[in-house]
Amino acid sequence: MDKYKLQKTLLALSITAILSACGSSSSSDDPVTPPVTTIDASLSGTAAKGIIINGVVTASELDSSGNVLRVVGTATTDANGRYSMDLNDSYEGGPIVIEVTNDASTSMVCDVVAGCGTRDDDITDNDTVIDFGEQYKPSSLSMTALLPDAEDGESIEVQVTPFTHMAAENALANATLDTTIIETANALVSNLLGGIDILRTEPVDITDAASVAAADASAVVYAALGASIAELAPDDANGQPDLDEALATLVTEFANGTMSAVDDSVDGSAADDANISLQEIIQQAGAVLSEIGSTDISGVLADLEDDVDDAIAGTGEVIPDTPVNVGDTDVAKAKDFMEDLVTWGVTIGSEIDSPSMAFDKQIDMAMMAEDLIQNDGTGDAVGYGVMAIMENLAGNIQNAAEFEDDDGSFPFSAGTFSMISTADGLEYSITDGELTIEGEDIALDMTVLVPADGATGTVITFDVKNIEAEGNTSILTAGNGTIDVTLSESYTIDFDAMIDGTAVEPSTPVEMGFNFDFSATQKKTTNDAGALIDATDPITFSGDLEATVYPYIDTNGEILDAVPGSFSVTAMISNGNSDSYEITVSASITDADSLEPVNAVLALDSTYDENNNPLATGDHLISWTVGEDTFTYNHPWSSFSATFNMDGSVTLTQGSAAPYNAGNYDSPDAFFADNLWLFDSYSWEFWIDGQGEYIRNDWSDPDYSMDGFIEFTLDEVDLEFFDAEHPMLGTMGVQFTAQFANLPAAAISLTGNTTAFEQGNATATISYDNRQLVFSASNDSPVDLPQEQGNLVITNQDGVSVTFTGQNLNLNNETVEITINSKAVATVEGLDDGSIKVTYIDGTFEIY
Amino acid sequence: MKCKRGRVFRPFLYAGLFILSTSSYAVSDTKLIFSFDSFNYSESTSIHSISGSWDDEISEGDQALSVSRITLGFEYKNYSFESIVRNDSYYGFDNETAQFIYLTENKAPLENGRDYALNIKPDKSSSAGLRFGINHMINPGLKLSGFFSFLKPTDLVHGELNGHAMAIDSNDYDFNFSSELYYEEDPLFERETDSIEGYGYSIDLIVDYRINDTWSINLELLDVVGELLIDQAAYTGAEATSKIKVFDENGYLTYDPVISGIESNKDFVYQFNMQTHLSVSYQLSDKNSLVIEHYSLAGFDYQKLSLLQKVGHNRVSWILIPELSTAGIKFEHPNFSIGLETDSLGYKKMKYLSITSQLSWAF
Repeated sequence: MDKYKLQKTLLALSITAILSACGSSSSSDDPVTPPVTTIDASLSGTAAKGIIINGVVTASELDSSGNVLRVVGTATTDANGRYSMDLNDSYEGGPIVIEVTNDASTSMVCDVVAGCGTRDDDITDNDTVIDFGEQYKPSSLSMTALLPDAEDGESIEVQVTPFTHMAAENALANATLDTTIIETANALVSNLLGGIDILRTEPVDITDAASVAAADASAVVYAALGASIAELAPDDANGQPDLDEALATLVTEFANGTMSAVDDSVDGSAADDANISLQEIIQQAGAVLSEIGSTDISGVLADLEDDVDDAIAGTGEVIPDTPVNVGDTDVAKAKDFMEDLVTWGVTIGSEIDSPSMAFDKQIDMAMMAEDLIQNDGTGDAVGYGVMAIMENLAGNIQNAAEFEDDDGSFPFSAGTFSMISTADGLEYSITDGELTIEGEDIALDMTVLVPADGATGTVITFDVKNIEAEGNTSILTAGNGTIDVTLSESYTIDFDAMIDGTAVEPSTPVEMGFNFDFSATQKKTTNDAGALIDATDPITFSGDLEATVYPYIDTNGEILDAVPGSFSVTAMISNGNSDSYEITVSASITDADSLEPVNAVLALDSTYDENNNPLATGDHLISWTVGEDTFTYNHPWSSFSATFNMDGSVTLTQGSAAPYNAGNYDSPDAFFADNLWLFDSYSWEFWIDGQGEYIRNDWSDPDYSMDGFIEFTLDEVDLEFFDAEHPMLGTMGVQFTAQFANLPAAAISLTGNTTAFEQGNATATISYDNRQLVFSASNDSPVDLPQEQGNLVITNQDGVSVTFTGQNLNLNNETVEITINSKAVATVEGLDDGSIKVTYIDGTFEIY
Repeated sequence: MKCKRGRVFRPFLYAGLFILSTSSYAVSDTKLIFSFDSFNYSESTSIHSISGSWDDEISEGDQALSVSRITLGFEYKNYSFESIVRNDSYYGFDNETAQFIYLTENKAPLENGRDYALNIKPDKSSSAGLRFGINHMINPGLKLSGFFSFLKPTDLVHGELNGHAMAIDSNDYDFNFSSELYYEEDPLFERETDSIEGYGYSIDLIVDYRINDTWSINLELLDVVGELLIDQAAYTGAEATSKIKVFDENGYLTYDPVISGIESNKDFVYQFNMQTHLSVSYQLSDKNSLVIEHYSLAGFDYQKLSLLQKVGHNRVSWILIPELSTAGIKFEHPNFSIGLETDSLGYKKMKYLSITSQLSWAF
């Protein structure tokens, strides 16, 4: 019985599945500490209220109340008003206010048609009048723009204009500041200006005809609208526009998110500097365009005139369109979800693709650990050792070499049993055990402690004192645990009888439980060519193992195989370079205690014993495997062969001797019913003692094969518990902590559950900090339907969810929705170039 | 279609004034008329290359354009009615941008540390409609012709892309750019859009002046006034970065930007670039004339020299554009003409290609 075989296979399959599906693990044994991540982002744009030259640009991070936390970047505008800055490492991801102020070197292009008053600065001019297009140094200037945040890798274009200032102040007037408020304020002002994106649209130098001619229409009208603010500003003592005052008025006008359509000055009344209306802005913008010989070809001014007319007919207030879903918190959640999805997907993918990375080493280690436990014979050796002790305990064998496996082989070539009475109880040992398993020589020493004398019950618990199995490729040690053997009938431990060799044989085990510490150390590994070589950086896989195994017993009470019921190992994988990580692997098989072989095995039972004699203890009935085994009977006076076919029928072929009922039979029963006398004639009882051999309990030759009378050609019965129609059902799971470069440590959990053939589900969970991504795949389609019936659901801690079905997993001409509580927040579609485009309900989109 | 006040009447105003100014004219036969004009020029690389293959090396230059018109209709006396389909494509770009695209498209080594400017300004429209024309003989040597087209836009790409790419290795680069685009069919981000809505107009003026038996002048001003007023054109503002990098099997970075932006719709006015064509003809002999022409289109100016020969009722023009190393030939029959000008006989190497064809059939 190879009770470890399926356990090991399960573990191997678990790890293999995880590694192949997800790229697997990593980590160290240090406490997980998220690394400090810096946000590498940059800002650039144009400062314009009239192009501002040598303007001082300061980017500051704000808290949720709008208070400045820290300066995260500075820059100076160039001759075109452009600035560019990289955010420094102190930036932590909060809102950013970009402020443009003046110092002694700051100048501004006058974009007031009537001029900007009397010059009082040191700029060379041929007169004292600041004309349209000339630069001057404003006495005071403070103009802002507000961003919700900057993300790593972003290069954000942010203009700073009177209108961004208006939006910024509108947002900052709130008690709290968040993405919704900021984006809504910016969008409201954009909508107020006919759809001009106030942050992205770069205003042109409206006084420069060449620049205007080359610029986009929206850039021109945006600049013209900005110029109007200076036109509408009150004059200071030098007749220069008081920009601070004008900006303050603008902010006040928009305090409620609306703007007056007209004010007194529009209708020819005296100029009203205390108010700024949209109509005034439009008129002044038109005047500026006229001054430079241009017209608005964007249609914005005409649209704004319509808005003014509508407002006059109504409340008098121009109410910008409410931004559609701008600042929708669900959109923000969906974007965070996509960010996580892409970040982890790309990182895991790139780590797997880059052999130099640490994560790749972790994969190699896991694969070697997998190989260590799957392909090594030491585990089998321990299994044989336990079974040999059981046989010795029952008094059937006296040394290990006598132990016969159920396939008829004798795996031990040496091994001494010994019993020592210790303070802990009676120790059973195998000393100097030597085995050969599939060509590998293994040395085995193991000591277990049997239950106390007189202990009784259906469960026999062996305390594992020490196990050491050393093969050609690895060393397996185990200890500090127990092996529980559950018997079908109660059993009483009798030390004296054991010592005397007269102990009663225990009843058939129905369950075995293993729980001990183990360690497997690699000695050899295989090179790329598959050759076995010394492991230069040996892997050690050590930890705690728990497993439950259910023996499969035939009608004669023989253990023919074992089915693993559950398996759990928490172990540390490490190598000689102190690289290590912990991994937990668990698995269980549904109904493992009641599984039946799925390959049809025909057993001759006592029905065919002519004398209805019970079989002798230790004998085995003949077992044939349908489609594989042929029972051949040869005798000097008659011969035949009977082949059991896959369809359950039997073909009886006449041999060289007298014919007997040759032909086809619908079933084995029919065959035996018609031909039982064949057996009766020449033998009374046939049964096999172990696979491939037989004994005959009658008066004559004990072994027919010796004199060639009878030949049985029987292959080993290889029990199969699972096939396509009877899949292995159950669950498996792997948990470990992964540490990827530039990402916080993440707990990764992978579980799988097979519910039927080609049906089941699997879940992978990535958890880090307070965030989580859950990938749940399921396939509930019937066997005869395509696999595309399955689906993959990805969710996170915010309830964001996206579902892919088998048909649209590749997103070829398909779209799927990202939802939160059934609310569609975005659509995901595959683009022709293989990229994925996510379009959110607020009109924004992302392409990865 | 949503018509904006102040804009809707403008084209009809132009048309009305034009018609009023050209009433009462000479008699002519009824003719079926057809014309096809296609002018294509790429300054820095071949037309084939810049159309997407990028298999031709980059030289100096920062623009490419393609202008085509097809008309089919009737001419009756001094009036003409035609259907018209036109395509106007202009691409301005930084030469560094073209070089960068050429190198990356061909997986060629980049100059480590070089910062490539990424600046592209596409300005393309397609439209179709009706064209009404009228001509007037001021005197026997002077003829004025005018055409008014009422158009429906069918395609649009207008905007700009600005950014830069920094080569950090021979096969790797960081890049970012921002873009603003109005379009009918999203050329970058595959946005699903509705058909473009709107209308447009354009006016062409032509003056033919035969000064004497030796000298004559022809002046064509196409799209003197012209625009497409597009209602709620699809608009995308976006920013792109190389935040996520994917390398091909040879280790060369593939262009796979991470893009974020916003999609919306805005009214948009597309303005046609005026084309100027001035032709001065000098008759050398009864059969030969020398023609010097000047073309100007969206900042692209060049001169053309032609030798026109009469062959029976036909005429053959031998054309040379020295500054573009271009030659051409045009054959004119009383009822049709066809002309071809190019700087290369290999279509993959052509930077300049002009094809003209006209048919006039009286019935």
